[in-house]
Amino acid sequence: MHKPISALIRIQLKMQYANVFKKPSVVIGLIAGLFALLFLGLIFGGFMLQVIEAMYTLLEPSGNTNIILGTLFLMHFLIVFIFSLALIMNTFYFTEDITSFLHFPVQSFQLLVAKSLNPLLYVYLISAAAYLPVSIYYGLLSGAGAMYFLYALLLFLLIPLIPYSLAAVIVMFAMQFINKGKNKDRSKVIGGIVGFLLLILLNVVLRMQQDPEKIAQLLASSSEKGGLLQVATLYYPPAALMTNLLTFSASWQALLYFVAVLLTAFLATLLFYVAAQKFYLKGALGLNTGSGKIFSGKGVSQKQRSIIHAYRTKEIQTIFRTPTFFLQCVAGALVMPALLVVIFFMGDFSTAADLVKDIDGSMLFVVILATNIFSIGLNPISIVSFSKDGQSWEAHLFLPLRMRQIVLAKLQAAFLINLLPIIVLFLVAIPVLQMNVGEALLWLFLALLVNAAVTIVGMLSDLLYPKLGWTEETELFQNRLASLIALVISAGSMSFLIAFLFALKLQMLASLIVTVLYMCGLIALLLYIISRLLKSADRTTLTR
Amino acid sequence: MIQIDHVHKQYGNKIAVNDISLTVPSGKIFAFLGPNGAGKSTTIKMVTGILPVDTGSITINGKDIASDTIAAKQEFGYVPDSPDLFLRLNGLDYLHFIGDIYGIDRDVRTERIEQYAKMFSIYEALGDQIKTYSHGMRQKLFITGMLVQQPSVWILDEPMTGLDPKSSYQLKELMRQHAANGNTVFFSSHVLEVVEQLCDEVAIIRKGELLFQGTLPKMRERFQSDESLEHIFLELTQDA
Ligand SMILES: Nc1ncnc2c1ncn2[C@@H]1O[C@H](COP(=O)(O)OP(=O)(O)O)[C@@H](O)[C@H]1O
Ligand SMILES: [Mg+2]
Repeated sequence: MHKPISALIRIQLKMQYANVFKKPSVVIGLIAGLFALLFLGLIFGGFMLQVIEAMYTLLEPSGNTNIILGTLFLMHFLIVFIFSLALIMNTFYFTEDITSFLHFPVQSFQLLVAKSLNPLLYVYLISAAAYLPVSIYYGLLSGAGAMYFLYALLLFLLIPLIPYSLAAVIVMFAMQFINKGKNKDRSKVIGGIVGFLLLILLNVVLRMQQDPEKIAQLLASSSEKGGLLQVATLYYPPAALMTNLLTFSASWQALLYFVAVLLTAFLATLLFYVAAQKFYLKGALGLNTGSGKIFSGKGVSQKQRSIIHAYRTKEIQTIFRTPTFFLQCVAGALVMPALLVVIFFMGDFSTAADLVKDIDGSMLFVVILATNIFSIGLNPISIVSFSKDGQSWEAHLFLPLRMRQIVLAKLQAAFLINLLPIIVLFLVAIPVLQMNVGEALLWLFLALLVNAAVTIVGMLSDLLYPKLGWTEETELFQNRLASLIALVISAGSMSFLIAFLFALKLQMLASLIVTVLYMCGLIALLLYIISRLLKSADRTTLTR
Repeated sequence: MIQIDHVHKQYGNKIAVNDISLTVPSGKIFAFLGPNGAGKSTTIKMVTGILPVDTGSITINGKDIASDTIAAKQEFGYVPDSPDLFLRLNGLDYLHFIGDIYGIDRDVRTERIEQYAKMFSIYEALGDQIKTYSHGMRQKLFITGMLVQQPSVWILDEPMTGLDPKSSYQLKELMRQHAANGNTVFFSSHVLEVVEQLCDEVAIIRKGELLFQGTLPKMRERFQSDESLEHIFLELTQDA
């Protein structure tokens, strides 16, 4: 029974990782990237740990320090759960290779265990970043014994399985119905978005439904030892088990709690098994088939378009119709503005506006710039500019297209799609920040400028580390050195600008002029490097 | 007309095409014949500009594919051996894309799409994504794309493989017409029978070496007298 699993795992490993470490440049890049991430992590982590220390000192007198752990487990659950939803949808359903495994005589759960390898790697990486430092630091603060650290480590291995399995069960259950839809590609995408929105809505409704009196009571009673913990773990009871396990790690009770956590994880895995066997095939079989509609003849006659227009349309169509690209580049780009919307609508408008009123001209400028960089920089669309063509890249070699045309059309497509998050963010920002006409225009102008620069940076990094030989689209968004390079270049060049503006504390107009000059220089430089790279690249594989 | 002049190509240490010279004249159907792995696709990829040549040169209607790339590419249409390109576009999107790239006028384009897509019975599927097409349908769509473009030089890599008999017959007819109008038709095949039915001239390649180039009657003559050709004759007929 276990043989098929190991064979499946081996083939997955080969397909995804075999070629990653062959090139020395990739290894060097990865090491450099890891150091960069470590550096960022230390800065952020140091800040987080300071917060925790402050919380600990604050809570220690009332004996409520374990609420830190409760919150940690709750947050960990939520983060991993949301990441898992996206990862599982991609790897279980939206990849091109799902059909190539379906005819093998293997059980669904065996297939899915093997397919979980990559998403689980991410889940554990996220867990390592989110859970380990805080739990270890808490142990040090509370002067816990060896057993604490042993249990903390065991929990690290166990707890990601719970949100991951639950997310998998939900996705598998929902996909059965999506598969029944007529226009599958579209319903796949819509299903994904609706699912995401429902999640947010559910969250909001749950919050509003809560009886304020009950909360008040809970909070009142929480001055007692451990009361706050109840509040924090109300929505995720296992968090209480885990917290108690660590709190009582020195006593024999800990063993009971550990068994309880173990059982919970086992139960979640069991659910995963059942859902895999019952739902997976219903959702996956026939997911990639066409609509079966007979072509009506509509659109056969169409006005002639310029080459760039035709190519740009092809790009946008490909992105919108490939579920993975759509989720990552279009829906994914809206997540950040959507989150801001939720935060702003649940929070207090006037405070945000007041906050902004307090900052002077040059600072407002920096805030606008930074927000847009952050929101646009998160979109991986231009990082797959060339790589997303995969096998179809060959067509560029026999069609009478100039590289200049291809680059221009690809940039335009990425730029246009990026306008979506920009517009959403803009529409949110106007009322929240209570901008006047001048400020709004400035916002839009800066957003467009940033969009151009970040898009070109993405394309450049895709050219530095292209990946045309993929078999499924998700590979383009995982283990890519290009994403790291893009992050480093855009973060580097933009933080340089921001630091510069920050230091000089110029007037609004002067800041604007400096920014425009800097960005135009940057864009020209990047375009020059891209054209050089394209000249020296092997046209068939784009590598040098 | 396609002119291949002392073209050589190696993948690492492996010689895929060894110093080949060929002239594909206009007004004729020219077949490129050889067993699997002989180097046909490699040669065709160099002709179409997909692969760079190691040494040698290639011109299409007098335009050099290496130095006058775009002009040379305007001259030909190409149907790849495994048409797994643009899978997310639907059939109609692809045809319009081709029409726009080659600057085909609206009315002409509409007429050609209707005529050829219906001829190859893929018209009803034009609204579906190419990824849902069968291998044969994809091939027919790419052939339709070439017919919408109507270039003077046709280059087809194993075009009959995967086609049903009716479509195969129609394609052969179109190829004959095209050549009769004074144009160039260059296609590869690993099936001797197809070549015998259809073409005027043939070049035989095996393990990267050009063994023969000439008319069909000459080829039959040589099959009887030449031992290495006799050998290849067996290779090419057994799997047909
Ligand atoms: N990308 C490649 N890398 C290495 N070897 C290749 C590559 N493409 C083809 N070959 C080798 O070159 C030879 C000729 O292949 P090809 O031109 O595809 O043959 P065919 O005549 O069947 O079209 C074969 O031996 C093949 O293994
Ligand atoms: Mg071939």
